[in-house]
Amino acid sequence: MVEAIIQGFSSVMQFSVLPLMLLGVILGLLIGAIPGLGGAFALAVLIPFVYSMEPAQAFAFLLGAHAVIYTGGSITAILLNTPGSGPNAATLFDGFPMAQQGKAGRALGNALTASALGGVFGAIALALLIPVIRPVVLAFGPPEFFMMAILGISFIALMGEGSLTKGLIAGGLGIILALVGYDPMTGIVRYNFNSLYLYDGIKLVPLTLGLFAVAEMIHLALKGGTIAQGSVKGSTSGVMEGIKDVFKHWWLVVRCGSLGTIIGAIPGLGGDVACFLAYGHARQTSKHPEKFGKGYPAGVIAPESANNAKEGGGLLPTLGFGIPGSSSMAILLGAFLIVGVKPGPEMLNENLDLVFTMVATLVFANIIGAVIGLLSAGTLARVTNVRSSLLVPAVLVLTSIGAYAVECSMGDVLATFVLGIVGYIMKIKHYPRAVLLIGFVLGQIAELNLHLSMQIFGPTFFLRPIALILLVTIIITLFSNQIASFVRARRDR
Amino acid sequence: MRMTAGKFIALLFALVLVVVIVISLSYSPKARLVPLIIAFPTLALTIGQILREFGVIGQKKKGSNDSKDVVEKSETNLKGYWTILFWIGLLIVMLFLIGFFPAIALFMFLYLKLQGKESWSISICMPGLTLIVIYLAFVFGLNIDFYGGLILELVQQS
Repeated sequence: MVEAIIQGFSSVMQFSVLPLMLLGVILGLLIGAIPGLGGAFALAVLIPFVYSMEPAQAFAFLLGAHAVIYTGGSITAILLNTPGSGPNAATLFDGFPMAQQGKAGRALGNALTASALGGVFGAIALALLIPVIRPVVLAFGPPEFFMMAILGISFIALMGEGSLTKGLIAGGLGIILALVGYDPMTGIVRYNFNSLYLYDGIKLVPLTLGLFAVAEMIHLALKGGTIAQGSVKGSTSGVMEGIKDVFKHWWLVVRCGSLGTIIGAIPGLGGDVACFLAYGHARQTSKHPEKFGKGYPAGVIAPESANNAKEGGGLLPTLGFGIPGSSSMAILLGAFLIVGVKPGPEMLNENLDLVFTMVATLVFANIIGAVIGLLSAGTLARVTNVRSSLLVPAVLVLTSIGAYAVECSMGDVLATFVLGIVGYIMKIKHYPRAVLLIGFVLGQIAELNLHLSMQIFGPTFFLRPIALILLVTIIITLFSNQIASFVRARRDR
Repeated sequence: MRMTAGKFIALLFALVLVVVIVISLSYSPKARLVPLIIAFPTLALTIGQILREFGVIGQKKKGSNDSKDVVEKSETNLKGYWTILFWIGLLIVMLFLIGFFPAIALFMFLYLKLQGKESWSISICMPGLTLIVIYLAFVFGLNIDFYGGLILELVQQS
């Protein structure tokens, strides 16, 4: 075991491997920063380059790129209110308000450091959990998936900014939007209005880009001026403050890193859930929940720690028994076959050094990605001081490219702009767009697993032990305010 | 009674939910279960919101967030709103008609020069630079085949 660890780490430092990992990290940061593209896209476009590589080179290159996707995505989320990919959406809630307050450097320091620490945490967790993961992953069935999705949705009630009614309306509409298109359980195509485009349902990328990027550009074009409402602290001092914030909130990083690792390890749940759950958890456990959504560092640190940690978690079922935890991991599974490696229990016996090469890649890539990001953070923060007349056309063009590039569909471009107009009206009337997005992400997971649970276990499916624990957590989450006031009242008496 | 953005969005949401409920009733019980569970309470909340927007129930507090919001002022600035909608519409039409590269160049140039009142050098250099970056990153690097536009398709067909 120790020999495999040493061999794995030393192979990453080899002259034939290290430059490839660096190249992967730079490409990953760039792809991550482009709105609409994500980890799956990065792996898909980079996979053709690994045909002639050795396994260690191939995984250093691919994982190097994939490990820092969300690090790159956090930069555009904070500076332009445009998440690089779905899992960066939760970073918008507090990252962009910080940029508006002229604290872009601090927010970038928060995000990049939390990403690095979260990523390293996920990698270490991967190394430690490989021997024990099998029974845990197998214990999760449809009832547990359903309860996890409901747990995510239950955070809706906590995340509504201002009006709870508007939050619930937005969440409900998000779930309804998720149900558009082909229903795998019944074979019925729902709410497609005879449109071929809607047959596949509304996609996450156009929805995210429309609700946030386009809506924000409409707002900026009308407002004029710059994104930052005051002068931008683009200096390194803001970045250093951000780094210090993360170490002050080290316990939050550990908790959200653990949450990200666990969710990443559960096949099918999806990484988007991790960032929202981490954000909700941070808000729920904070002494200052009222500060969330208004530019609070913990609101950036929590989702970013979970985002990068889930990559280590996602590799657990992929390496352990060949079950991909996400679409990105499914593509990575293809890369295993290309370089002649068979994942599963055999891999843990015969290619353990390769497993630790991957762990080492995750550790180094996350640190290098954050250092590159931090070194350029001061300059990047000045983006928020670019006048709207320059920024608006550039972002609108980039958004249309991002929407198109994922599936080469003009329908996605049109959908992005239509949703952008809806997103703008939601913004000015204080309907929380983030809650709509959460409802959208979790709606389909909840419906599918509810039907499966009913079919397999009947109406008492929620009595399974893990499902029951999750149900109790949901109830505590929903009534946390009432419980807290009750406890406070008892204490005062 | 003036139609404000708040009334418009609440009515739009209610309409969407009514359509969802009506269509759902034609699906099998299994396919309509979750949509109806979600749509009915959401519609009830939306109707409450509509009544609030029209002043039937509840009173808007003076000096509340809504009235303070800077953006709310833009609600009266209809001209500005229609202007940005025009630019978005123009970008979409150009993307569909002449394809990505000509549309991006033309849109950026027109926006920078006419809307942004930028100098000639910025209005020409920025679209040029953007095209180079997009070409290198997406066409050369990622091998993405961009849509060429309806006009090109018609020319090729003839």
